[in-house]
Amino acid sequence: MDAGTLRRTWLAQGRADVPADAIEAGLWRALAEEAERLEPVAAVRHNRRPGLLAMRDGSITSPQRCTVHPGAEALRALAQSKTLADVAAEATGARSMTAIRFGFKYYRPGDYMHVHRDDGKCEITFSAALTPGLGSMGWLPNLRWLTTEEVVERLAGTPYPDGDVFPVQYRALTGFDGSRIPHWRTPLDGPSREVLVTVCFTDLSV
Amino acid sequence: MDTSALAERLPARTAWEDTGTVVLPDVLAPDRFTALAEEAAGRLHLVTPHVHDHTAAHRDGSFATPVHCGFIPPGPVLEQLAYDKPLLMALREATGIPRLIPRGGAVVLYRQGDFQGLHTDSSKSTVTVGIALTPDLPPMGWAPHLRHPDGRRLADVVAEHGIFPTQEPFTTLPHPYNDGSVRAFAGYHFAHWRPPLPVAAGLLVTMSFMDL
Repeated sequence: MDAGTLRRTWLAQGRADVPADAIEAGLWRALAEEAERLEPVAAVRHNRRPGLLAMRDGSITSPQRCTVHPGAEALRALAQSKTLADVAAEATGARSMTAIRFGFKYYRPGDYMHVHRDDGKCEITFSAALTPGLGSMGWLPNLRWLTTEEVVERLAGTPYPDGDVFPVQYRALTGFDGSRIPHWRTPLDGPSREVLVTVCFTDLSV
Repeated sequence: MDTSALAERLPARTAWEDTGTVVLPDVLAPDRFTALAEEAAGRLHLVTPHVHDHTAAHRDGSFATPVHCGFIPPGPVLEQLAYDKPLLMALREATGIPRLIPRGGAVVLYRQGDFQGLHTDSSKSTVTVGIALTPDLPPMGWAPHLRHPDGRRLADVVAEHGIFPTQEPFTTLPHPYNDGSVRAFAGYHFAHWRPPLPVAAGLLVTMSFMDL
C-alpha cells in the first residue's frame, strides 16, 4: 500500500490499515507468549462511575471492566517498531510519531467498555487481537469532528450506541482516531477470555 | 486492584498542582547560559513570525488569544539543553511528575510592542521551562487562581479583564536572569500572557516537557 492511500483513508475514515508484512510472525508469537506470561500480574481496570464524563483534554471517560498490563520486551519491540511509527506518521501527516502508551488488555466473559473517547494525546491508536475470538469493536466515525460536549449530549444514555463495526483483526494491526471517534466494546459473549494489544502514538515535536 | 491507591502523590507534586510553578536553582551554569545567549544572537536571521489575530478554545482544552512575536528554531546548544538528562531529572523531582519527557525547545523573539495574549498551552506542554536571555525581559502575566480553566471560563476572563489582566489576584512570574536558576510552569493548567514589550527587544528560551 502506498503512503497516499494511508493518508487518504485516515483523512476520510479515521482509520489506518497496517500492511500485513509490517510486523513479522516471530514478534506476534512473542507477543502472544508475553501476554500469557504476564496475565497473572495484570491489574483489573474497573471504572464504575456511571455515565459519560467529559474531560478538559477532549477525552470522554465511561464505565469499563477488563484487565491490563503494560507488557515487557515483546510489546516494547512492537511500540518501537520503525515500520509502525512510519505508518502512524504517514497516516496522520505528522513529521514523526512516538509510541507513548501501550498495553495488553484481557477481556474475560462479560467484560466491557462503554462508549468513550481516548486521551487527547493519543493521535493514532493501533490495536490487534492476540486471540482468535475477540470480535469487532463498535464505533461512530460520523461523530469524529463533533465537540466533546456534543458527543456527550448525543450518547449520554447509550453505553453501546447503534453504530458501525470497526474490525479488530487477529495478529494484524489497524489504527484509528481513538481520541476523536467514539468507540466501545459490548460485554464479551463467549466462554473464553480474549486478549487485545494496543499502542498509541503522538507527535512530540514542538 | 483498586486504582485509587495509585493517586498517592509526592509532596512536590502536590505543591506543583497547587501553584503550577517552581524555580529550579543550580541547573544552568554561567558558561551554558552564555552559550545559549550567543547562539540565539547568532540565529536572529532565522526568525519566523508567530502571529494570530483570533481567539479560540481548542479541542485539547487549550485556549488562545492574539499573539504577535517571532520564533527562532533551536540550535545545537538549545537542543542539548532541551534533552539534557540532569535537567530532566531535576524537573521530575521539582514537579513530582516521574513520567515527564522532553519535547524540544525554541527561542521566542519579542520586538518592542510584541505580545502574547492570555492563553493556555497545548495539552502536550505539561511543563514549560522559560529562560530569559535578555536582562530586561518583563515578567509574564499569571493567573494563579484559575486552575485547569476551560475555554468558557477563559472567555469570561477576557470579557471582563481583556487579554492582559493586571488586577489582583492576577499576578506576574519573573524569569530569573543568569543566576543559574530557571523557571518552570504548568502552561496547560494555568493561563499566562506577556503584555506588549516596553523595551527594544527581548529573547526568551522555552522548552516543553510532556507528562506521559
